[in-house]
Amino acid sequence: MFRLLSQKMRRYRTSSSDNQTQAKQNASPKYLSKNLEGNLQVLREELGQSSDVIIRDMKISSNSDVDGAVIYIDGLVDRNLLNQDILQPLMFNLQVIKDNVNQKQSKLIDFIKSSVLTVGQISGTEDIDTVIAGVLSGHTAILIEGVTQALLIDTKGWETRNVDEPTNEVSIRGPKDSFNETLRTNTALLRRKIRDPRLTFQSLQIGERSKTDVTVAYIKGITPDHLISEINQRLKRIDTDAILDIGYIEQFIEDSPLSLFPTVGVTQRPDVVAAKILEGRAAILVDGSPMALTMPFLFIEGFQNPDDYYARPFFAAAIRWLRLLGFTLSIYLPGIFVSLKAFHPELFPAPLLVSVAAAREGLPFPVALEAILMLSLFEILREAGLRMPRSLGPAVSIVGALVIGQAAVSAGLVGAPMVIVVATTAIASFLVVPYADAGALLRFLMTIVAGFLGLFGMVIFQLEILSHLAALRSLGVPYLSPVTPLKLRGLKDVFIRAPLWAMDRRPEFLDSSDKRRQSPGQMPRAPQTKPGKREG
Amino acid sequence: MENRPISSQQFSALLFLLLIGSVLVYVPGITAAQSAWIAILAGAVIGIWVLYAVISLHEMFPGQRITQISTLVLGKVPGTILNILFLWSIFIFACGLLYDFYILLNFINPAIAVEVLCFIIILTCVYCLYQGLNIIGRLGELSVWISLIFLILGIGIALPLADFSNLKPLASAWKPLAAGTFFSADWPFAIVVVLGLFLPLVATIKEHTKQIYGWYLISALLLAILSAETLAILGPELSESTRFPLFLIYRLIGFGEFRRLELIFLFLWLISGITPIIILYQGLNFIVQDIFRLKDYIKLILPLGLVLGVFTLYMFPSDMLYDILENKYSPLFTFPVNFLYPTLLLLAAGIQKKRASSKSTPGSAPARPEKPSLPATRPR
Repeated sequence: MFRLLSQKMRRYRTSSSDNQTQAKQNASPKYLSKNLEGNLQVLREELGQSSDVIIRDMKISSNSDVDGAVIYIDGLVDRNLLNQDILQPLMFNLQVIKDNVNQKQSKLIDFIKSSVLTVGQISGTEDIDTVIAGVLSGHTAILIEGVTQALLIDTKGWETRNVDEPTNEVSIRGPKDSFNETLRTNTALLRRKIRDPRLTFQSLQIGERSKTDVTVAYIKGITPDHLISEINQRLKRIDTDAILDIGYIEQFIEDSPLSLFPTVGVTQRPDVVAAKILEGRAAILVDGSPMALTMPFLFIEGFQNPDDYYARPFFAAAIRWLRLLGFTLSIYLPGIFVSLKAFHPELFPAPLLVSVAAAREGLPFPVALEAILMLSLFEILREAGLRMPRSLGPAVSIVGALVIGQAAVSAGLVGAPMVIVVATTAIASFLVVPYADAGALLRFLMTIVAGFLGLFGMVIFQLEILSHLAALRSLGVPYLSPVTPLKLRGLKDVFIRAPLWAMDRRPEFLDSSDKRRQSPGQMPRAPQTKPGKREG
Repeated sequence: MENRPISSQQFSALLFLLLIGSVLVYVPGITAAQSAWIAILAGAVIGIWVLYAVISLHEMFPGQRITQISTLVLGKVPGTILNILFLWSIFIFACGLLYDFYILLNFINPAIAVEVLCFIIILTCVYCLYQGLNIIGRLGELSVWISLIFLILGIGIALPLADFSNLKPLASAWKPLAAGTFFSADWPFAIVVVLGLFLPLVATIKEHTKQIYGWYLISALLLAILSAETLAILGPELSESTRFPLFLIYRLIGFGEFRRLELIFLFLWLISGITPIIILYQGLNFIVQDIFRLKDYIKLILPLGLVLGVFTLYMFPSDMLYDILENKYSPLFTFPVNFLYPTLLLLAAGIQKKRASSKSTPGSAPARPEKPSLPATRPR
């Protein structure tokens, strides 16, 4: 029954997408005519009557009678650039233009392009749709009477946010810049870090209506070609109205959309993206989003932090273990407490058991329900803290802390040990931010399972999570690499963070074309002093 | 679901878990009393022959499961008859393991009914099998380290409780030693024959046979140490009469104010205990697929799991019946089958190869068995 339904759905989807593709192919391209007024009329119809669409009629050079028009969107273009480098040279009394006006008009446009306009990026087109797409993305179009070609000049210049400090991924020793909403700024931030001519930004537009610029960044010769073609294939498959944020792209291209665990990395730090690209991964940047996606994304990456690589290795390795412990606690701690209390109280040492029992004396709820209530309360506070106006934040924190910390215990609704357990869990959950969402859901599920089946249920559930994780892939790379399938070299950056000079190869599991990233044997050594010349 | 071969490292991990997990709940070869650990080592020697036979058959018929080799070498009818006997032997093992496992869990947590425990275990296995075969390999590769850590930790913590005079006199009578060797060869060592069903999925077996034998020997050694320690702590009588001797040992140990550490080792039991069940269960899927010449085994997973669960619940209504059937009568059937099945196939394949080479003209290259086609298994 389900198979029949899914087959029908698939057939319907295939046929509808075929129809759409055919419709797109049948739409014949429209070209500019020699009649300026006709061209402007078409453009007005296509662009609508929006107040921000500016069509500026003009005479090319002051003494000529050649009509022209400049079209742009107010707010998307740099006005200074438009006035000084386009309108001024075109309209002011330039003898050269006048002389050339007498020539063939088709040559006039080439002349303007090569000798008059003082702008960096100019292209010519005869296609009306290209003109419209260009204008909508911040270009200025110049149309001239009697010419079937338009000039598209890159005059993008809208208001942008400055490059600020990253708010979500704080680093103590690392760089303090983060991506912003402008794609070109983001690519420039990457280009500043990797000055390799093989660093490639491959761009395409996605979104039937939003026409959002999406860029795939990688280094040719390091990132395997099959990864790039797979990413491109997935991006080209997206057929949607609009891409308003990078999250849209993430949901369309991830390997396991129904998994709790992310298989695409998200970061706002250019140094993280640069490091991942240099390892052989690819990044995706989207215009309008201050985040970048990195693929393939493996489970262990969630536990890695940029500061791990900027600090010396020993502390970095210890902190990584701490993150692993924090993640484990954030998922299991409430479940363990519930199962010990409800099923295996003998596991508590006698003094602890007595104090736990005393704290729970007279409480109205069973321990599992108490845990779920407290966890829910914490999630409510967390969500409220995220969404509310910033000025209200401290007030809610005080109320939350008082309600959870004191009032609930004094009122006899929950026991003090449960408050400690939930508070520890809450803090531990923020040690590994990429899995905070997945962790929250798993925590609830684990607590429910513990309430029904005790430790046995937890271990069985854990086995299922493990087998699910083992089945996950990111861009074809097993999610649990390099732990399983085991790649010994890859373990240098898993449970420990080996010194940078010891990590001379790129991760094996990424199957990079250029396997070596540095020469081996670069361990720093003290200079050898000759015997007899020792100091002291 | 995907069709990626499992690596030799993962295969070795599965072998380790199959051997260790099968016996965590009791001392193999306990019939030999204080010499049980010697019986285990002797049983391991018999088991290594089974492993050798299985690997040799795989090298002679690459890409074929042992059940497919059986019909290929012996012919359709005799091969299928042997496969049915093999199926029954594996089925008995799977039931026994499942029973042991849920009885242990019921012993730990009597609040949960055995029926519930049985079906939770079965459904967990079903979930893992639906994920794909290479996922079992990866799960094994992950679990092997957890099991090793817990095992070594357990051995280390319990060592102060050992009284090694319990192990004397050594090999005082040959009859109990022979019986112990027989029973430990039956379970767990001869059960490695089931891995003959997985070998076609292993990527590079030829280059890594040493690794596989190495893991086999490590498992045998660990089992011998574990059994010697159990005997040294509990003594032969208590070791034999206790239902879960290792569990009892872990109950005796403590750490500071924490006196009941046995549940910490629950992880070890669950991970090491469920992997052999998954392996045997998947083995059953393969055998049934080959006997009935099915294209796909996916559809068999759930029904076979339910059969396994229901059958186990009805086959062993009490521990006493389990003891009689599983420890007294079934080895008389399972050991000959598991030992003779690969041996017979290896002999038949060897004879066939000799005949083929004698038929070929002198000086020409010896005829090789025709390269068989890949098993008609749906990619997993």
